[in-house]
Amino acid sequence: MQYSKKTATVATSLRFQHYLFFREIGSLIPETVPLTEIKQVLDVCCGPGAWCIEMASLYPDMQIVGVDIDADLIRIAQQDVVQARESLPIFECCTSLEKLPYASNRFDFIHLYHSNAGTTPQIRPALLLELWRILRPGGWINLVELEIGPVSSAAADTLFSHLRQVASNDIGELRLTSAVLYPQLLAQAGYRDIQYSLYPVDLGNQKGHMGRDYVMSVLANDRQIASFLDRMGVATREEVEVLLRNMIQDAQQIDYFCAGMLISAIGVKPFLTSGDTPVLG
Amino acid sequence: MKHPSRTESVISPLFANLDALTSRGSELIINAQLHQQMLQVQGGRLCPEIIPINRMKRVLDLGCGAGEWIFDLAKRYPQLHIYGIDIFEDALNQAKMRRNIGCLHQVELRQMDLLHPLPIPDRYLDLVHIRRCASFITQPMWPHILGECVRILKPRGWLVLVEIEIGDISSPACQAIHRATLAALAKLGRTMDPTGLTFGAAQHLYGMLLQTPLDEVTYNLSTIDLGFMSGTSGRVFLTEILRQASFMKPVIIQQGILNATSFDELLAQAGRELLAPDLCGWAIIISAYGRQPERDGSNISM
Repeated sequence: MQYSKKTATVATSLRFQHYLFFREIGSLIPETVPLTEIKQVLDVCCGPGAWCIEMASLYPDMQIVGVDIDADLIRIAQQDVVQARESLPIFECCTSLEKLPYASNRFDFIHLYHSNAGTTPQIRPALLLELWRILRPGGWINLVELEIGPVSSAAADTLFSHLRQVASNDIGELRLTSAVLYPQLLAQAGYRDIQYSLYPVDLGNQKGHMGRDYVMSVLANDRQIASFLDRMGVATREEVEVLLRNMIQDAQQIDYFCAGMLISAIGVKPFLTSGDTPVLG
Repeated sequence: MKHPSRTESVISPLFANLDALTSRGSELIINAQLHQQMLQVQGGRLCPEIIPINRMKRVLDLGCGAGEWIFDLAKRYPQLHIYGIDIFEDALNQAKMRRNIGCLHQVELRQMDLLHPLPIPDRYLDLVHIRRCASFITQPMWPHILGECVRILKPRGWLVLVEIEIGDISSPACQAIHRATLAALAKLGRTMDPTGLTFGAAQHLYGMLLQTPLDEVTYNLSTIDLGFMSGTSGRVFLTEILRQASFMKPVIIQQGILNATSFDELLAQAGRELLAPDLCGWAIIISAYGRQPERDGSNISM
């Protein structure tokens, strides 16, 4: 089956992202989660399915489902599963993440990499509300994000991450790179036992070029951001394009330094006694 | 009843009495706590693991302050002769008292401006350490200081630079007040990030070392959790953010970044927000280091 070059590039970037994150975190599921209580697992914004495929091969007894709004990426994921011949995760495409085709209280564990690669929407209250519905009481939700930009030797990186924050604050939504707000967001949504972990990710140019290559692939794919920032009036499309070009140039300098922070927040959906209503909505 | 230590009495009522933050005494106490927290997140190491301190003879700490790093080093490595240099007299006096109380005759302390040539012979030291000095070093000073470090390092000796950068924090008021501090510093030309959105020194340590004749230049990253979920270890860093803001208040107002009323409101608001149980934030400690080549590079121009 043929895919556009863009889809193939995005898929490669997202697989790479999974590898990079997994290398830093060292486990697919936070260590505080008892694996014996996990049977039904959902990966939201699963992309080409790298996390699901690895989960299925490590935990063959679990039922792993990956869902994404990008039909091409889902087809790539399905193709990869056939090639991998592992115990099979299921990949499904849906039209809206806020209306998922799953029964209430179905999943024991929901995983969400909010990738910066431009293929996934922001985490909005409506999405969390939907995830709350399909997560069983006592089940776990795990939000993961990489913050890039604030700690970089390239002024363009810092400026870019700042513009994203300003633009998102203006619309009263979450900042785009706002993983520090995840614990608060989970608490407001009614989750309990909230914890988070921080993992620094070296995205600079020392030793190998893993991190640098990742930054480049994100920048190369992240074109939606230009129209978003333009729409929000914080920078014109042309200004953003210039900024992105500068960032790509800076990232190729031999002394390029960039430290990203991977934030993994986890919460438990409480068992509600009768009369309790979730704080959501 | 347990008598609260001097440190606790500054830190715990901190958010109620922010004025106390600007005293020089509070800075010394915060520095002592910061040192302990930095050690903790760096696995108790005083230097990157690869550096063989146990085989060294002479070490210099530039900008040693009250000697937090030096005294831990002296306790662990009694064979070392350790030199400490700082420009601030009160911090140095405290260090001298601690040296005398501890009978640590291996420690030598001197008040000096880093801008002057160091009164140390060429190729004399096994290790030069500079930590959290960037706010006292302007960008044009760095090449001079690094050049001096290279001059006084023995062949195969190590230079270690350590700085902290705040990444992100969930408290909007704390972020706003930190941004105001940085904007004021940027107007004075004291940030290395031209946008003034970050302080910028930590991010440039690696690049600056690459421009020296040193070999094996590399860096390590350690994370500081600014939230409370994994304990209260981040509290002292939050204190430091507010202390820096309070210290910079006159400049922030003078530069028209905030007026006095909005500064005070923001600081008080930050104090409240920082107590939120779901507070989340991070800072990064960057340790960049390099090694003097076998044939020393002191004659190579920077």
